[in-house]
Amino acid sequence: MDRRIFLKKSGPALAGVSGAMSLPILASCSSQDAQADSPLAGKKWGMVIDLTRCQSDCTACMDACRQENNVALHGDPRWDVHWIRRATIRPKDESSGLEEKSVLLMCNQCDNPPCAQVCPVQATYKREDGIVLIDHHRCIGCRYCMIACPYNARFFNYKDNPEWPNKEYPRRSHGVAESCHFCAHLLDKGGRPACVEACEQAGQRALIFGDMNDPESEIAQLVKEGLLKRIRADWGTEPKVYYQGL
Amino acid sequence: MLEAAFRGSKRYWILLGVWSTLILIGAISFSRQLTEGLTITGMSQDVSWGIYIAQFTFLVGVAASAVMVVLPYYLHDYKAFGKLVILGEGLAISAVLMCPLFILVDLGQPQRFTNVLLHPTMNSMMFWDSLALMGYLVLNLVIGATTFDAERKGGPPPRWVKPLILLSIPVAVSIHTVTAFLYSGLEARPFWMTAILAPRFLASAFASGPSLLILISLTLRGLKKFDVGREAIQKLALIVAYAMVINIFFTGVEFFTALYSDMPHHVHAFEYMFMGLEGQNVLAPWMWTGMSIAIICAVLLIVPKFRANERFLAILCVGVIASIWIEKGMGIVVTGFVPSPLGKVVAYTPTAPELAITAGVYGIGLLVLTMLYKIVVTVRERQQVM
Repeated sequence: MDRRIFLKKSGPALAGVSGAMSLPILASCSSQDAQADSPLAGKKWGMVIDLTRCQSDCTACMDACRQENNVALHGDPRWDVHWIRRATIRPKDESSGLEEKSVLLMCNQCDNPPCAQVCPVQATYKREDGIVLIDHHRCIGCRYCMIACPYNARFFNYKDNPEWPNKEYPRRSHGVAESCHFCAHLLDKGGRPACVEACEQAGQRALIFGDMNDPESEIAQLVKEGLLKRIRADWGTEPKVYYQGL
Repeated sequence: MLEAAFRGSKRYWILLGVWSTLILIGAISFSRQLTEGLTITGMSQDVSWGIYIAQFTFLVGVAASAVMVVLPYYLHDYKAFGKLVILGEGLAISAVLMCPLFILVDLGQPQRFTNVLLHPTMNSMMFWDSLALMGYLVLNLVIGATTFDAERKGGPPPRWVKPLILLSIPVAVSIHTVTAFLYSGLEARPFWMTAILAPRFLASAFASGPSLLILISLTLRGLKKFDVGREAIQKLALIVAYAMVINIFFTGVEFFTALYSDMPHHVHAFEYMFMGLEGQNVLAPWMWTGMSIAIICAVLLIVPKFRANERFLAILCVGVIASIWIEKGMGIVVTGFVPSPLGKVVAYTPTAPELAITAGVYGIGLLVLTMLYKIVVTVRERQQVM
C-alpha cells in the first residue's frame, strides 16, 4: 500500500502526523480499538466541531455554556474563565493570501490527558466514559494542570464568581481550576451538552456530539470517514474533539 | 545549646526585628490573598506561575548546593571545610524551609495543602518534589543537629549519622532534579521541555549556593571573628568558578538547539526573553543584564589572581547570585508561558502584595538562618574560650 493512501485510511488519528512518527500512535490506536470491542468499555463521548457550519458572529454555544455551568466572566482577560471560546487564527505572513480563521476551542477531553497526569492530588481524573473531570473540593489550586494542557483549555478561578445563573449546578469559589466536562451532569441524566443544544437551536448544527463507541452514531460515522482533524494529534494526547474544516 | 538563639547583643535583636518586620508585612498581604484570592498577584490565565514558583526554584538550588561542602568534607575527608559544613547545612535548612512556603503561598487553596500527602500521586512530579524536599529537610536537621552536638561535646558524631550523611548527597541532587522535572516533562511548554534543564539547574545551583556561603563566611568573619579559614573560601571560589562556566556552557547548548533548529516553538521563547515579542519586552532588560553579569563574573572567576582577592571575590559572588537569580528567579519560569500554547503573548509583572508575600517568606528563612548561625557562633566562641 502506498504510504499516502495508508495514512489517509488510518484516518483522523494520524492527522498532521509525519510518516516517521506514526508507529507509537498506531499502537495507541489499536489499543483503543481493542477497548472499543470490550463490552466493559461502555460509552466514549466525543465531539465534532464543524467549522464550515459555525458562524463566526454567533455566540450561542458560549452563552449557553456560561449559563448552564456558571462559568465566570469578570470582564478582564486576566481572570475570565472560558469553557468554550472563539479564537482567531491569523496568518503570520500577510502576503500568504490565507484568510483569518475563527475556531472554537474547548477542552479536548484527551484520552491521555496531561492535566490528569500532573495533578498532585488526583483532583483531575478521567471517568470511564472518557470525560475529564475535576473534583473542586479536592483541588489545591496549584495550576499545574493549566500549565500542562497543550490546548490552553484549563482555567483558574482567580476570584469568586459573583454570578450564579444556574442554581442547580454549583459555582466555584476562588482558588480552583476548571474546564469543560461535556456537561457530564446533563449526560448522566440522559441529556446533551448545553453548547450542542444551543447550537442546534440556533440552527447551525455545527457541534455534533455522541458516543464514539456506538457505530451507528453520527459522530462514529463522521470519524470513520477519516476527513476530520484533531488539534496536535501527533502529541500523544488522543483528543476526542474533532474538527471539520480546520 | 538552643538557648543561645534567645540571648544576644542589641545588633542581633535588631536583625531579628528586621526579619520579623518582613514577616509581618508578608503576613498582612497573605491574609489579603487568602480572602481575595490570587487576583491580587500579577498572575493571569496565561501566565499562571510567577515569582512565588520562581523563588521556589531558585531556593531549591540554594538548598541543594550544601552538597558542595558536605561531599568534599565527608566523602573525601577534606578537612578545610570543617567549620564550613555546619554553615552549609544551616543554609540548606533555611532554604529548604522556604521552598514549601513558596509553594503554599502560590496555592489557590492553601488549607488543602495536606491533600498532597492524603492522596499520594505517583504520576505527578509535584508529589515527588514534595517528598524529596521534606526528606532533605529532615536529613539536614538530623545531620546538622547531631554532628554539631557531638562537636560541642568534643567527641565524634554517633555512627548512625554517617549513612544519613551519605544519603543526603544523592537526595540533594534529587531535589533539584525533580524540581527541573516539574518543568521539563510538559509537552505543552517547549521552552522547558529540554533534557538539559535538570543539569542546568544543578550547575547554576552549585554556583549560586557556594557564592552565598562565601558571602556569609566573609560577613561572619567581619562581624563575629568566626573564621572558616582562607583555604575553605578559596576552594569554594574554585567550585563557583567551575559551576558558573558549566552553567554558561549549558545555557549556550540550549541557545544552539533552539536557534539552529529554528523551530518557531523554541525560537519564540528565546526571542521573548531577549528581544520581546509583539511589543512585550519587560524581561529583555533583565535578561541582558543577567547574562552580561554571568559572563563577566565567570571570566573573572577563572583568573586565580582575582579569586584570591577576597574583597573582589565578594563582588563577583554578588554578581553570580544576581545573575542566577535573574535567570532562575524570573527568566526560566516566566518565559515558559510566553508565548502560550495558543501563541498568545501576555506579560507578567509581580504586584506589590505579591512582592510583600515574597519578602515575608524570605523573612522567615532569614530569621531561621540568623538564629541557627547565632547558635553555631555562640557555641564555637564558648569552645574557643575553654
